[in-house]
Amino acid sequence: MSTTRLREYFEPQTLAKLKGLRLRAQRLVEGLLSGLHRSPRRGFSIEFAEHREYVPGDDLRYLDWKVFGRTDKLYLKQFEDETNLIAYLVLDTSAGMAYQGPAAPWSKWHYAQCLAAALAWLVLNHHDAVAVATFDERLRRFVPPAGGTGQLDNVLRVLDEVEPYGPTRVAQALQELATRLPHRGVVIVLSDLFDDAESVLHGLRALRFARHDVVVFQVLDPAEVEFDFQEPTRFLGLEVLRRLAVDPRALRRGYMAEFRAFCDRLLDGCRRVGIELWPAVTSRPLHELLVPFLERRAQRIV
Amino acid sequence: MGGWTFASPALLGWAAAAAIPILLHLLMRRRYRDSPWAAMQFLEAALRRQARRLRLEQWLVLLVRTLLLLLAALAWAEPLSAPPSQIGLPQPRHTLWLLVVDDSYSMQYAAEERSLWDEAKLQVASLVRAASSGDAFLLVAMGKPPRAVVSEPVYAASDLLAQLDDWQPRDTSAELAPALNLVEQLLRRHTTRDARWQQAAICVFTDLQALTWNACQQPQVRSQIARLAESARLHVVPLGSGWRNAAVTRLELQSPVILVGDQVHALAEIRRFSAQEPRSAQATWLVDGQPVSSVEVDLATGSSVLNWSYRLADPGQHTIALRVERLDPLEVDNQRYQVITVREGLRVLCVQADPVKTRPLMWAMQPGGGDGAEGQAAVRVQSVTPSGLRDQELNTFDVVWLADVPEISQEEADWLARFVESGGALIVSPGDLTQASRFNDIMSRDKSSLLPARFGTLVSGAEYHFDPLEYRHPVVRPFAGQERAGLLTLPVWRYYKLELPEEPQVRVLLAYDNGDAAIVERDYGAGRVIVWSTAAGDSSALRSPAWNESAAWPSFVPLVHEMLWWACSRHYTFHAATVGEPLAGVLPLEAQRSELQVLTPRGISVKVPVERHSAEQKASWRFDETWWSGWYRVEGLSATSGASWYAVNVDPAEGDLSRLELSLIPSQFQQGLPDAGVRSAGEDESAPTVSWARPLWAAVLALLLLESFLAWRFGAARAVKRSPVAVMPSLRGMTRWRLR
Repeated sequence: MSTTRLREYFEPQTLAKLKGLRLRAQRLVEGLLSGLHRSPRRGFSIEFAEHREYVPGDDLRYLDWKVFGRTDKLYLKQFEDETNLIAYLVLDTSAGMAYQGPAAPWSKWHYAQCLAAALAWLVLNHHDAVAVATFDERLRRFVPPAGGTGQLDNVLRVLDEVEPYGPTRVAQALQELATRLPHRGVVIVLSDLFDDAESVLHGLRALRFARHDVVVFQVLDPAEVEFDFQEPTRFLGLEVLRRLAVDPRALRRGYMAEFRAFCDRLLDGCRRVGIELWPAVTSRPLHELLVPFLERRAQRIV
Repeated sequence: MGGWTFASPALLGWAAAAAIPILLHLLMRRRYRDSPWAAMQFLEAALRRQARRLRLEQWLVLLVRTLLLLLAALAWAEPLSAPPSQIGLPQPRHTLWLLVVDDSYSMQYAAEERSLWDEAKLQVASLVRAASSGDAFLLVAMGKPPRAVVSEPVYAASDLLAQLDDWQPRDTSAELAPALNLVEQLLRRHTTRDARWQQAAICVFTDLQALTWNACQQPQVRSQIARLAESARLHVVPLGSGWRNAAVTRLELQSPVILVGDQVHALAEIRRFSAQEPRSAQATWLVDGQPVSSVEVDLATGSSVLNWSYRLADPGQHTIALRVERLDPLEVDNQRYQVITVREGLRVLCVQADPVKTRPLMWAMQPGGGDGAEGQAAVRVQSVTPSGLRDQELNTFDVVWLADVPEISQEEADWLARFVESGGALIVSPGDLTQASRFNDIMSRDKSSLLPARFGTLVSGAEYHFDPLEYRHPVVRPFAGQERAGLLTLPVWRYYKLELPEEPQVRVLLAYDNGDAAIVERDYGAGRVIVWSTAAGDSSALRSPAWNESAAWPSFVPLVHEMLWWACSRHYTFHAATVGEPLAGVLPLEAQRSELQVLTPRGISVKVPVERHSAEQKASWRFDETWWSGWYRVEGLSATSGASWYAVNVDPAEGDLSRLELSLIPSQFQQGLPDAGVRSAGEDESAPTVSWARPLWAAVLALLLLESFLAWRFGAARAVKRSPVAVMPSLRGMTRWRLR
């Protein structure tokens, strides 16, 4: 990893704004260091928390045979546990994330990289654990949760190695992820979510139903939000081999209606299942997004 | 309802411009900017939803733009149709009048209180005032060269009359055929361009001078008149009736260059053109504008020749004029002008390689002076060797004589050419040292070269004598009847056979008895070049074999002197021209002038630009507007000599005011002033036309507004910039929304 890229991840302005803030989950995760939070992880604790339905691959030692006796159904016993916060940074690496519009300072992927790196640093700086996952059509890379400075290197290496490529299928990837996350935590999805809105919500719901605290940063380019092209343009699909030659001024109204409907549908769907959805337009400075986000999280701790 | 026509059908070609929006539309389709894009799903959805509407909008704008240009072209071409019969409002047909006025100087004939020119203007004015409203006029001058005084139709009579008032006749002659050519061009141009001029009339106001109008008997002019009659009514208005005229038809100076104290000898002819009058006249000689002598002229025999002598004491240019007072009603040809230069001496640069061999020539040029020294003689000779030629200031000499010079370099030849072109004289005579081929290569390459002839083979072996060619040339004319001068007995044993180009400018002064040219000349620019075929000033007493015996012959000295004066007189005859001919000249490039000032006889001062030709190391000027006879004063030609005078005279032939018999006027012409208010029999008053130009322009305006609205509605109105949050209220909501 180059020094330049590292410096870019930890842009001083961004880090200065974030100093002193701690990322804490409000409802489900209790930090070991402060002891103020309750972890949603059902694991090796003595205190029973709840049952969940067995899925292949689960440890049979935690099967609740009494329930099986009564109902003929396989449930696993889950226990509450005191734990650190685990932040799962889930990044969309489909080709669409490589888009950089004429007015944008960087591509969506670049923006998501920096955002993820900043979050990882914050979490690790407060002795919490960070995991990283990347996906396009399916889950591609996964760095298990861990803490310490070594983990920051791991995270950054993965972020640096991955290049946006291929189509995306958000729902399938997130559903797969939901089954593979070992502990409960805060799942932070960084994606443009450009897929069928219902499928996207289905994938997000899978994470939510796995009792994770889900935060979505919808990374968007200003050109995608404004669609302010003035000249006849031939749009070349990044994820699909398709090209559309249109007069953008004539098509703007229709595009905006479609885009707004998509965003409204996502917003509504997320709200229903308790998922935070943060629009992250790449023209906005990173700290302008992170500071309100972390302040919001801090308020919820108190 | 009648048929459709167009006032300007040629303008319909602009309808092709209607293809421009379509071409632009097709071009635009190929000029899309490529841009990668991630959010294709929204684009595709929008396109699915809006494709039909967008296509409709595009086609609508395209249709409006195409229609707009189509209608504009149509409106410009001005469609005309017969109106519905129920409207029944008669519309007048307008006439395009081409008024052709003879402005040659014969029109200045003023037998009564008004000249023919004034009469012509009065007739034109009365025609213009009587013309129908909506008629238009063009005004053509019939002088030489013909010109359109008003070349675009003028509708307001007052405008045309104002032009008429300012119009001054010129001292030119007139030509019928070129004038009719111009009229035909104007007629074709305007009737083709504008269909309003379904009828046209050509009316010629002239004195019917036979000199001009005899041309109408020529087949070419007759067919031209017939063509004009097919598209216009032709009228001729003869002006004046009886006439009497005499003119000063000739004023010649025996030499345009004389020495201080010499007599000016002038020859003038006064000729009566009319049968009886005038019988006599009083002729006055004027020098520098002042009358110096007067003489009674008897014209009983039809013409009279005057010989006049006068002594001029002051060096420089002088103007000479002969004026005949109260001779006849046409004043302009009763005088004639000349310019003479009085010199203190003639300066000759003799370039020779062997002083001994050319000594007889030096003596002949300067009989009373020393060898190569400047004396007080009429001819002052300076002798230099060929290598010293470039050290001389050529502008200080009148004549350069290359006597037995071996060769000339290209640079020296160019230098001499500029000297001659700007008014100098060059005489070349060969000798033993002369390398004829070098002269041919450098100075006689082609027809435009400096020398008028090439040196051919060397002829020898017999004795040849001169043939004076009937003493026609001014150089040999003094030898006529002077056999003792020995011009014809001078023996010549060797000469170069001169090869002459077939050019009228190359003249033979003197020939040999075998027919070969002995001395030839040609005018070159403002100067003159003379080439001898044999050595100048040779003798058997000096060498053997000799070229000729000229050094010992009595004819040699006068021949050399006549040649010197003739050679340098070209520059001064250059100061005379006929009305209409340009005045022009060459200046040395060192003259740092950008313009000259010419003062015309009417007192009008005109600035003439000096055109610089750096490649040829010279500058030239040209003044074309010599429309009046008299003296033209040109200032700035030289820093030392001040102003220079040029004499411009009328063409004396125009003084013959004989008229064409009315019966000889082509039948297509109706004689007399036309009645502008009365329609000809062929005209159909009940066939007026209605122009659709105005409604079409209104439609064009409406389409312009519609196009602007559509362009705004479909384009600009959608392209209003808004912030992302303003565009997406839901984004604003998202930033505020929180869990729970």
